[in-house]
Amino acid sequence: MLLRLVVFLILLFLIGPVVIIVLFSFHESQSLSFPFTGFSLRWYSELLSNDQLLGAIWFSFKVALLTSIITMVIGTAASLAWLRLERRGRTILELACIIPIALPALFLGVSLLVGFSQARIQLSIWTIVIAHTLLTVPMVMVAMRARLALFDPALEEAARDLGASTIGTFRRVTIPLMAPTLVATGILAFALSFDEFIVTSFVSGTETTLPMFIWSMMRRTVTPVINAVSGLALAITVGLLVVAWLIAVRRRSTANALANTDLD
Amino acid sequence: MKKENKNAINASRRTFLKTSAYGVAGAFSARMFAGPAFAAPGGELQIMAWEGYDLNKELAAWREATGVSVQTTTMTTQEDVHTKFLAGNPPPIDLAEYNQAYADLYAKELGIIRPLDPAAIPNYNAENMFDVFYEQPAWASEGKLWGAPYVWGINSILYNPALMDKPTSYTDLLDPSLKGKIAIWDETTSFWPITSRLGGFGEKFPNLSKEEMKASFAEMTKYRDQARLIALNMGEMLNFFASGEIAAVLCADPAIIPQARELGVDLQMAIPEEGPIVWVDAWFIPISSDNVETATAFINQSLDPQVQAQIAMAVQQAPVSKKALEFMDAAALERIDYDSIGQIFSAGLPGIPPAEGSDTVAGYGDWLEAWQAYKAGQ
Amino acid sequence: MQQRPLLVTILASPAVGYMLAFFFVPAGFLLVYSFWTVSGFRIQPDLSLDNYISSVTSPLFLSVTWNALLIGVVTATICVVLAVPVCYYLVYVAKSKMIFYAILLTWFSSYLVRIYAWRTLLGTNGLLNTLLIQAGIVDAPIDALLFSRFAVIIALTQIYLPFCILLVMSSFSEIKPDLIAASRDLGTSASGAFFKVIAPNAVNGLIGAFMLTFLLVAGDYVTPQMLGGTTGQTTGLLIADYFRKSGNWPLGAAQAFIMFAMSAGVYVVLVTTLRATGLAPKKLRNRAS
Repeated sequence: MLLRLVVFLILLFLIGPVVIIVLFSFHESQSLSFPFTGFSLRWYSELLSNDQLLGAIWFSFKVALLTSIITMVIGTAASLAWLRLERRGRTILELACIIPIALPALFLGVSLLVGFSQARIQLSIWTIVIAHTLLTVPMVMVAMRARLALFDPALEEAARDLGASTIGTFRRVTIPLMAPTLVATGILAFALSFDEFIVTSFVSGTETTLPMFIWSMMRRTVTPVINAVSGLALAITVGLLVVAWLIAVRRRSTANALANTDLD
Repeated sequence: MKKENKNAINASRRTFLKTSAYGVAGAFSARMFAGPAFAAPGGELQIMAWEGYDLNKELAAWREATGVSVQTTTMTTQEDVHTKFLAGNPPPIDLAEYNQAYADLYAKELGIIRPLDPAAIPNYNAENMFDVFYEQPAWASEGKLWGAPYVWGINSILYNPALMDKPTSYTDLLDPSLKGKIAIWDETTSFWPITSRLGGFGEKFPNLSKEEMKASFAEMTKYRDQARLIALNMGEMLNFFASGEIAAVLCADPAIIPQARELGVDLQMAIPEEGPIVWVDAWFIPISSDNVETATAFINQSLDPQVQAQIAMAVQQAPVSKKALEFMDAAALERIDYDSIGQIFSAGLPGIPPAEGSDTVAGYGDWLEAWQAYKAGQ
Repeated sequence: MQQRPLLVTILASPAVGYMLAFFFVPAGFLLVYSFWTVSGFRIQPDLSLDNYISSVTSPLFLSVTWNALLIGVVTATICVVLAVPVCYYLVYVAKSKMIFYAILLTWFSSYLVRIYAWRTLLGTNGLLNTLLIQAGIVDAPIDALLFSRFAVIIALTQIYLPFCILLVMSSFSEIKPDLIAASRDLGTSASGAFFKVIAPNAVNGLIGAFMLTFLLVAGDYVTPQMLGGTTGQTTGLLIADYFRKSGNWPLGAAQAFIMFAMSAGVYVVLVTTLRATGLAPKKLRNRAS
């Protein structure tokens, strides 16, 4: 019971500020401090009528989508390799993939800026995506490792013994087993990229991401519009999570069905 | 079947890599082959401006008529602009803003400005512009026009009359009754000149010796001890005014006054005897521009008297066009005494410390370090 | 398992190639830059240790670096301490996916906006002060809640705790539940099972979680800047200023490497201490494990 209380309090601490953010996005006045005077949708309507803000949201969406796709491709391939490596190979692969988060984001930002500058690569949406992927691949590897450590190689072997090709094994056994984690890490990568600020500010070219826009908007004024942006992002995320969850549930039942028919 | 699967996966992988490679290459080559100039305004314009200063609303009709599409990068500090050019790979920005203090740095030391062609900017003329902006050294020197002044304003003490009397000097903010009730704005183009004025070296700014600079910052520690916060941005200041936590800010942009009114705080501006900080933002075309014609046309439009009036009212600042005054409402005209504009500018405009210091003069890096130490409470 | 070197190479190459091209090579450039010099915004190739020497002899650099390390160590410690019961609960007691998703969801509210929410909570008229007054703990609002190291640490904890939970959970998941069941069968209490079975097995994971959280926190210069007042200046901010304001990339690069070295120092101190006190096994796997 004590444990449950402690966990509950920690959850409250984590979620409390998010509740405050959403609450103030409906505040009728411009003030972001208590007392809360009344509900209004004015900040949402202001958000929807601000072209540049919407442009920044759209741009961040594109960046986050590209980042999560690239991350998932690289992360899946690396995970499949990890499963096939000996201990030493695994360590090297892990080190190579995880080391970027073993350094402050700022370090990545400045080293990429220097690198792009030396290579004369013009700053653009791609430099942002490259930088974000550098942050998300390690996260995916960390998350995947836990999943992969529990992966039973016997399943793959069984599939091969039954005559499945390598690719066939991937497609019918390995990938379905990894799918829930993959989807989860894809969403995680999306979230990290959508919200990234420190590295982005070094490698962005002529386009403005949402966090950068919020930062520059704050220069003139801090209104609940920024809360409304968060409120909107949360609503979309919850929607996406529900969709992902449904897909995961369906995939899992398909995977189970497959496993039952093919292997049993 | 085995083979097919393999191929399918390989193919999709390859297409993916290919598309992304083409994407990157396409983005680059589009830039390379766009050519240095278009014959008439058109195409895409990449501009870098303060949030709200990019004429998004004001030039909507012009964009429609010419088919120009404008993409804005918002800047949060003036440094955001030159940072883009310090690397060997500047993005293709066609138009950006500079604060007059950075004129020499941009035009001469960094060499990132492409001079304007005055003939292509008919609105830049003595009839339309106030004298203080037409052919003045911060924008026109060595026979070249580097930038076109576009909007200006005055930063000074802002205070809440409900909580204190009108200050007549910055030193009034040191009154013990205001302990923990003032704010400092984290904006070097305002704070550094004031630091040297209050340190007793105002005349010498921006060429103080290191000792003079240190003495000036030492003087400013009194203000830091007095301050509730060093506000990163104006939005922050506004919140602290609104909650009644602060009564005054050392030197800030009066553009927050109307917003403060909306929050029920009747904020006022006071001009202290040590003088306010006058600033002028100008458009310039960076060397990276690949659409000079359109950028020039954009500048010309921004100096149109009606556009000038609209933007001045929208951002709560002042126009550089004297013809704009007749299109402005009473509230906007009231803010600044345009009849005495010559007097406002008589004290000169603040600059920035030289890019490289010497034994006798503190450089930009020295100032930055002193400012960082100041903010860190040292 | 049978070895297929070609296949493994192909699968591993995107990740390794990516890291090589966009991490190791740029970091190499950065290292080279740190020996260059700058005069008036212009960077000149050189082979000088001046950037390193002037950094480690600068009182400003030392004090803000100390500040960053302090904030990092305290926040990471709190994060790990809070993550352990949450993960224990999620992995061994409730196995609730909903709670896990709720935790991850906090990640989706904008980082900058969350920092602002903490201002709403900690300000003079903030929620915390109101609660303290109503509870009769204090008579007048405490101004010092905001713009203090306390504010920075509490906000950073809230921001990075979900990440820490993710890491700790992955290290807990690697411990076979059979082990715990076995110890419980032998009559060990729940807390006993934690200290006797889980902690020794998860210690490497916990060290990894601590280090990664520490690194993220110590490198975050935006949160301290917005909530810390005069305690809000950290090395990250200095480095960012050198890159963005004065154009002194070489000095910024040198300071980034010094910060990296100091972080490595924290790791060494941590592991040595744990080994000396017998809390960690003598031989550790790689740091990220």
